[in-house]
Amino acid sequence: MRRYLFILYLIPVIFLSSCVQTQQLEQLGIIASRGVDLTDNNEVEITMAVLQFEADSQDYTKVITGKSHSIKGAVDEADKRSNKTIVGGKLELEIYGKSVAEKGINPYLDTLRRDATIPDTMLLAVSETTGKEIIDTQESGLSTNIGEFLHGLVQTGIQTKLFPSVSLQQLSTIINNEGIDPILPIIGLDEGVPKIKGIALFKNDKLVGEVPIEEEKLFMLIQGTVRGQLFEVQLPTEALSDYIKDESSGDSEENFTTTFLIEHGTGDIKLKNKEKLQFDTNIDIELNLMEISKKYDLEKEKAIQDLEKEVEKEVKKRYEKILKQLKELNSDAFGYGVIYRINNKDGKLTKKEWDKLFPKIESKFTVNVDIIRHGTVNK
Amino acid sequence: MEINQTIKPNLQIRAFYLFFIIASIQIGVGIIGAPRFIYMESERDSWIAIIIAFFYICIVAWVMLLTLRQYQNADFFGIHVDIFGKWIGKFFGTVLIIYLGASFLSILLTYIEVVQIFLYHTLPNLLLTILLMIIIMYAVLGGFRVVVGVSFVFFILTFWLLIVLYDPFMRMNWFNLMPVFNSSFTELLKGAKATSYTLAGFEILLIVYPFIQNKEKAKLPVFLGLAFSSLVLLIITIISIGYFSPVGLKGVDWALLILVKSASFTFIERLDYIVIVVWMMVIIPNLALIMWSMTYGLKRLYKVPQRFTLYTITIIVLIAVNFFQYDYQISNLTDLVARIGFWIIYVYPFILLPIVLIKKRIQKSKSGDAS
Repeated sequence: MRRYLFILYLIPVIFLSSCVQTQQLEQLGIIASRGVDLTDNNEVEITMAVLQFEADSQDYTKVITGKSHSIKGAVDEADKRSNKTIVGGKLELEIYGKSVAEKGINPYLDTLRRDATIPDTMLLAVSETTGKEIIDTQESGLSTNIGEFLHGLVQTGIQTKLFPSVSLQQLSTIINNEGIDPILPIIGLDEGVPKIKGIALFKNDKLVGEVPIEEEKLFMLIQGTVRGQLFEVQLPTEALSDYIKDESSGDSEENFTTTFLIEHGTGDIKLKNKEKLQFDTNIDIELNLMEISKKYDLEKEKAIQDLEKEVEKEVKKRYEKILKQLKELNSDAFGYGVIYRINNKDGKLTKKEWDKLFPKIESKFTVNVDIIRHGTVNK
Repeated sequence: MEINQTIKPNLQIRAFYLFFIIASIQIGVGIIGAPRFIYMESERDSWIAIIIAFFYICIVAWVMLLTLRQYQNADFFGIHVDIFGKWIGKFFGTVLIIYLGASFLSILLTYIEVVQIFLYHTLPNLLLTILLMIIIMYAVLGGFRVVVGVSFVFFILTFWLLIVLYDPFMRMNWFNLMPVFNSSFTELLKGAKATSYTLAGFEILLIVYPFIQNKEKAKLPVFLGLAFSSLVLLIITIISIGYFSPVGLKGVDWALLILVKSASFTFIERLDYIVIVVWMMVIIPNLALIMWSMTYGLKRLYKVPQRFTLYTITIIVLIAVNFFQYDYQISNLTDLVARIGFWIIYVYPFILLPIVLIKKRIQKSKSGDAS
């Protein structure tokens, strides 16, 4: 009996294996990253950096474009122009052109979520101009191919927590959540080489504004714990002139630069008064001084305390500026709405309600800075 | 038909294995999509609903054991023939077998659908069914002890899948669970009811009970098995609520698979593919136990040889799967199984117990009069 069953088992294994669709690596073009743009007559144009393996070719990546009314349609159209079957199973980065992002990215997210072959770990970004321009970058300036390069650009951001929340799954969670709006990195070209240039602020799925990339640490602090990040602060020379021992360079400069390493930083939002929409935002940062452009007397305790105070003032000023911008754009990237919602009695808050309330909120930023170390020298 | 059975000692199992039987039959395809259905009813407090459901199934299992204790060595079929007589008793037994058959089909089809969505779009239903049925037939032909062995081995082999959940756990947002205690009591009960398809399966206790060697120790492994599967469901649901947005979770069909989709390692990029394939090992004990129960039940009721029913059911399954092409057909079947199962598993034992007790009392007083 067992032998019969074994033979019975072998028959389907041998004869039915052709029922499964085969995918041979040599015949595939694997999309590493792609840019999504709209053409003038409202068609979707996709520019893809495709990895392919050919025995006698030196180039691993090829840029292919396709046009149609939908994303999948455009990929299919590009497929017809390529000698390989184009597959999206290792898609790592999708870049939306600025005009696409301004119109709303929800229509393009649908297929990414619906198609089970698309990895959830793929990253999303917005281009300063068009997605095509970024993908079309000439490879001469880069050490690796464009697909890998672009992924690495954003990926390191995530791994070192340089940039919060840009994977497909995280974005689609935030887009649907009440009381928080998503942010994405903006990629632009700098002398022909792609670079992260800013933080795109969204209102639901539409791009509404941007914040310079220098403020990314401030976003990270609000979202959770930050460790081991560099943080650059400009401080006024005048307020700290007592401790500055630099005679040579003139006092004409208004500001001097300090760079710190964030040893440990956390942010916390609390609702203080629900009727008046008053929030308390507490930021605690422990810093390690890495660089200072003036000779500063770090031996005295008072000197460090004053330095801390100036950093606190500066950070607070920067936060208030961002919040003002967010309120003008009505884009709650810090997630004040989430805190408001969980303090609601029934735990519910619709997007419409929060749209009306958010521009009216007030937040008091309390920044607490501790400079715990200053390296091997104290002057 | 004998009401009390005599099982040969070499066919009996230790009560300890009940844990694996219960745990592996409860964890199956249902758990992949369960968080969504629970969340639709009880929103953020879904985890409370699962705890309620756990206590409820514990009571049900306790009632089942109490019913079985009234007899020396009887099962569901024997008890019914004893209470309702030959015809009605056999009718009830047949209803249970048909229910088991429907749930067998729904598990199989749901798994095939998952494979088609995630792995092979063009794979015909029949092919996967043939491959699965051969393994199941092989297990069932080995007899009850082999089926229990299969559930034991595959439980150990698939246990590690829980570790994969650490990744979504690290990313989840605890704010999504707040504020707690907001759902009304009816919503919680509805949520608990939504777990019925996922947590069903422990009715097999009524069929395997005569096979247990040390019956006095049966209670603990049964409750541990129920606790284990409820805990797994609880963990998956809590992570899903934190991981997806409220709107998102209501639209996600296979929450568990999407959770593992984001876990990625340097040596393996897409863990979800592995999980779907390994999930077959979770399904097989499920299907083998149900298949064995069906063939054994038919043998008890109509004295048909188990081998004959096994082949017949296999042929019926092979034909039936071809008729299910659309997504809604499968979800309708699953809904139907869930609804019928709710009455058979979660309500009926409470009706059965008093009838059995009354019957026993009457018998006792009668025999008392006679002596």
